[in-house]
Amino acid sequence: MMRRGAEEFDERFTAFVRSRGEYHLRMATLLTGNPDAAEDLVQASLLKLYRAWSRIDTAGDPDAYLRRIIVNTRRSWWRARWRQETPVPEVPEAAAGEDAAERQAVGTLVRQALARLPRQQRAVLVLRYCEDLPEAEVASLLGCSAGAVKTHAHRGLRALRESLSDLDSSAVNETSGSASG
Amino acid sequence: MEDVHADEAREARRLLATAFETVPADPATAGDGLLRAVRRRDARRRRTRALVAAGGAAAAAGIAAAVLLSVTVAGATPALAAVTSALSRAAADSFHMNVIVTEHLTVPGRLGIPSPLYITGKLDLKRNLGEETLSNGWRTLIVGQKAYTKLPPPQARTDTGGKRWTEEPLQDAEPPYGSAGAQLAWDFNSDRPFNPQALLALLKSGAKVLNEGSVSGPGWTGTRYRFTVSHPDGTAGVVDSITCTVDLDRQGHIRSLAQTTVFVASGKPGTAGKMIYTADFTFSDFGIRFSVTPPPASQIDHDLGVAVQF
Repeated sequence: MMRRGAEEFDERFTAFVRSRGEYHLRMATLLTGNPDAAEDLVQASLLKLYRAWSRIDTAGDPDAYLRRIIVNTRRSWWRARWRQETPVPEVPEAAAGEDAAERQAVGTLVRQALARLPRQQRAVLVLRYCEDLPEAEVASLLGCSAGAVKTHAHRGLRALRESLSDLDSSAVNETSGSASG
Repeated sequence: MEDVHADEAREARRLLATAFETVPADPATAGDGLLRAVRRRDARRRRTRALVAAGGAAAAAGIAAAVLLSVTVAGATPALAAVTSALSRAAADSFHMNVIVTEHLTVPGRLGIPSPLYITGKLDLKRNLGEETLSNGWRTLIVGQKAYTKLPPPQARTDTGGKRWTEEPLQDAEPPYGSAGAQLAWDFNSDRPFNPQALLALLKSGAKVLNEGSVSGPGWTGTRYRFTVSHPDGTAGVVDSITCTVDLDRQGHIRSLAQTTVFVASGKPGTAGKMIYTADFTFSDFGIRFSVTPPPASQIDHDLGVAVQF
């Protein structure tokens, strides 16, 4: 009886990770601005979820549990007072067709611009406009008021636009610099 | 209150969807690869938890040295026995502590701290009490299983809604890893930079301790020991090595500890390098008694509204 219970438990967790792991990895990449940190964060968060799996109602919405764990774990890690963000390799350029390459380039620029934002603004933009969560839920996840979510969203979008504009002109300058040199 | 217009929100959704969908996919890190990584972490965590918990419980009971020595030192060299005994003793002791932390990157990159960073404080590891003040304006209090951190004003404004203190359960400051090496690499920059139990576990993982001869400081004489663990278990290629130089006085107290952790760092392609943290601890006033009062509740930003408790 016990053994069967453990197998079912494992099967449900396994199915969840297979179907939803990549989604949360992508989201964590936006939240952390760093694919290595995202991988680390999702693995650590899934381990927490795994250890709590038997105590929570995962028939409901395991995504919501994992999202909350990811946000809290990330916040916990950030609190470590001088944890270094490791310099990471640049994202390789896309080699596919022009549309795909352009889309890839835009995606890369947006991720770079996001990574420049203050931690809380970045989290609000990702949870509000990528996860599409209501303001109240974002506020609950981040432990702040709905008003603070509005403010972070407003300022974050403005900063994102400015950052995108900076990054875009640097890319143009780099290209013209290397062409003339 | 500043609102986001509907067209701005649409544009934000479009940009973020592009950023999300174009995250480079790596099959090795998703699906079954992700599952395997979680299971490996779980196995490591269970193994190390047992080890470290044994040390912690013993320290709380005030019999750390005897128990840990019986576990660890059978057949050990005198150098290993001396360092093990001193760490076990420190795990149940109280003292003043000064730390100088430096950071150095061998590849271009942004430093995470104003280097050097100075920490002064006192710890009582038996009663789980602590006070630390950092030269970058942070302050931490440890009371039982809670850590309270006072943020400098600019950060408090942006991150905690103007409240000066955050509160977190100590267990949430645990590393995201499951080995002694990784724990040390993590604790190095957490609320608990000095972690004798993790050092004991690292020693137990097979470190060779060398006697480096006599050493002395203000009012004490003793012996210097040194050990290095390369590629510590469980650090998944992130940590190159951890080296500790430990000075013990004749009474068996740790007077100083220099801990160097070398991380693997990769910059732009072809610029792989190292990120080197050093923490130079000095300890004094062993056995001091002190009390720590938590900050007023009205000044605390309660960090976790957690639905799931672990």
